[in-house]
Amino acid sequence: MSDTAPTQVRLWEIARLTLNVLVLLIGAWAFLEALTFRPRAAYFPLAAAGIIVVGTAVQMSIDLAGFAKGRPISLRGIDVDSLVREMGARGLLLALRYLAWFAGFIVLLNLAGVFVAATVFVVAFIRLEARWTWPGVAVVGLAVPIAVYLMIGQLDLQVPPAYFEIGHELL
Amino acid sequence: MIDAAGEALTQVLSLEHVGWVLFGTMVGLIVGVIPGLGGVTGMSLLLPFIFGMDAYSGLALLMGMAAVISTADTFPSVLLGVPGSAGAQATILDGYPLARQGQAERALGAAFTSSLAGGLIGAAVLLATLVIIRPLVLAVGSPELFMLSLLGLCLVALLTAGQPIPGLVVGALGLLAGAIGAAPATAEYRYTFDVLYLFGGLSIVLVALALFAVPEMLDLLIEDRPIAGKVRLLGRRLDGVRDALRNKFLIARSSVLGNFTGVVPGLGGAVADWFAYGMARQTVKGSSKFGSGDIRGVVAPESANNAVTAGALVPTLLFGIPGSPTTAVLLGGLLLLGVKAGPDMIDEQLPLTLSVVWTYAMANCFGAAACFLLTRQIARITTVPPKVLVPCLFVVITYAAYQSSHHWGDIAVLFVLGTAGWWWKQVGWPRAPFIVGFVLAEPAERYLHLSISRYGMDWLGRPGVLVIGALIVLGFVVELMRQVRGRREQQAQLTGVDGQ
Repeated sequence: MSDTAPTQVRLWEIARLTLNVLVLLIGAWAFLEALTFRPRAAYFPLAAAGIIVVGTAVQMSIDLAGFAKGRPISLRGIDVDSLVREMGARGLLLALRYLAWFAGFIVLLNLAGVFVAATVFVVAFIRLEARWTWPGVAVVGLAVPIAVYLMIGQLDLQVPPAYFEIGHELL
Repeated sequence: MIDAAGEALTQVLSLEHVGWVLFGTMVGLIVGVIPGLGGVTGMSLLLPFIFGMDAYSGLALLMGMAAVISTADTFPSVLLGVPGSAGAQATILDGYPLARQGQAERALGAAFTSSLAGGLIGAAVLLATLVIIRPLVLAVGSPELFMLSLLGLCLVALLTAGQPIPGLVVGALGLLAGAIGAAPATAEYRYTFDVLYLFGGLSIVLVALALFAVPEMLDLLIEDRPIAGKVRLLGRRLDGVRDALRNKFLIARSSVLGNFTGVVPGLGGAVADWFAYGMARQTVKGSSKFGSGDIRGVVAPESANNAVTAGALVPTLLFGIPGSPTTAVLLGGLLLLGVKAGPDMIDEQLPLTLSVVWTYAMANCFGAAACFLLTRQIARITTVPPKVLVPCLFVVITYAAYQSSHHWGDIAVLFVLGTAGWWWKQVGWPRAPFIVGFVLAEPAERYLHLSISRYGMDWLGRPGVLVIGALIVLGFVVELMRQVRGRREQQAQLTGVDGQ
């Protein structure tokens, strides 16, 4: 495997070690924070944070020992094909791209409200990413606000406030 | 008990209840057909809609969905060779070859019949278990419930991904996330950064959607697998029904096996279907065709994975110990409905518990009927490209997440925790222990506090506590031995390769 996809495996090892370090830091912070609580409120988070710190430290030691010996970190439980496909530079860039789409939707939701945000996001996504033709996109553009109205209006759901709550008066 | 069963049946047969079961069933069928989604996503999507419902209606909706996921996930397994959920992997081994031999309808017919039988047998075993286990459950006190919480979390951590240390760390992270907000013993606010939004703690809906739905959606987009070009449904469905009826004893065995597998936290559908497949392969006559299109290779796992959910309901309802992410979210749903899982479920709440059994059986009937009647329509859902499906789903889950506390923080947490969940998934960290730890945090801390308040440190010497403690230690010892044996085998293989 390392012959066919060494970069991906190395990237994966770095991602895993970084996650371990982050979790270790979170655990250590949570432990120190728990020491400031009253005893009856502290024992439970102390135990949980203690497990996190000790467990992550042990896991990192195992991983780093293997890393130092040039042995790849255990790939047990990992779908290697998926790793090669998704943890390569292309996979990471794709993930960032789609996360940017999601973030864009959230920003639009904050600005224009539920109807406009949902319609613009879905229409733009299927036009630019799924490469649908304009007639199909137009049908979706009509269907989305109706679906949003039915879902939110009929089920009496709360909608997030926005700067320009376009169409919110319908709800 | 009989009075309670009658009361539950009256509730279940009301038009409103049947309507909610049907709605839940339809959602479950759609979610189950889409590979990568599954019970947790479906359940989390439905939770915002149960606010304000009565307990019977809310449970009807949730159980309707949960019961049929493992019926619907057969479609992608048979038609595309892609598991619809973790519990449908073994079905591919013989289901997909059958489809390629032009017998997709036969394989689906056998799968739906087996699923229905598995679901009904599961419901019957669940009912029998409730009757048998009742005195035991009522004798359990808070020390034993605390230890059972620990046992459940440890088993999920040890068994879910075969990586005990990350499993435990993630479980502890879940406990820590569940501790955000007011402490049950002192009402002191913990890990809130003085942010008002965090004073009430994080919501189970939010955590489940972020950790399970967002990573799966990102993966669907990255893989961009055309879910199916054109679905070819050939063969005769009735032949499949006859096949299933011919193998009724295999169905019964697999269902009971699935049911008992579901009872053990951390095992569940992903393991039960392989257990049943392995058992069928070893016990039936003429098993040489297994793997190349033997209908019994479809019948056994399909009946087992439908019975699993019924088994998983035993620890979830009676002890408040979720054995899987789906039952963890169900437990969160019970809390939203104002129902506290635990021994009360078999005492004061007995009619509600029995209504779950009836609903589970009813949902399985609805699910199987819908699959038989709407095979082509449901199969067509598998042809929807991920790049069309995912943006629509993201809109729905964002609005669903906002229902958690009606605060912009919900959407921010969904995005941040969802990104973290994708990262965890990529590096092979299990996510199931997090959600189980998150759900167990509050009751486990409450039980521990009650135990210390009532018994001092004497609770540690109670026989039940000692037995459960021994089981936890035994779990670790067995896993440790398995790890050592695995490493030795790996080294022996490497030595062999070097020697050559």
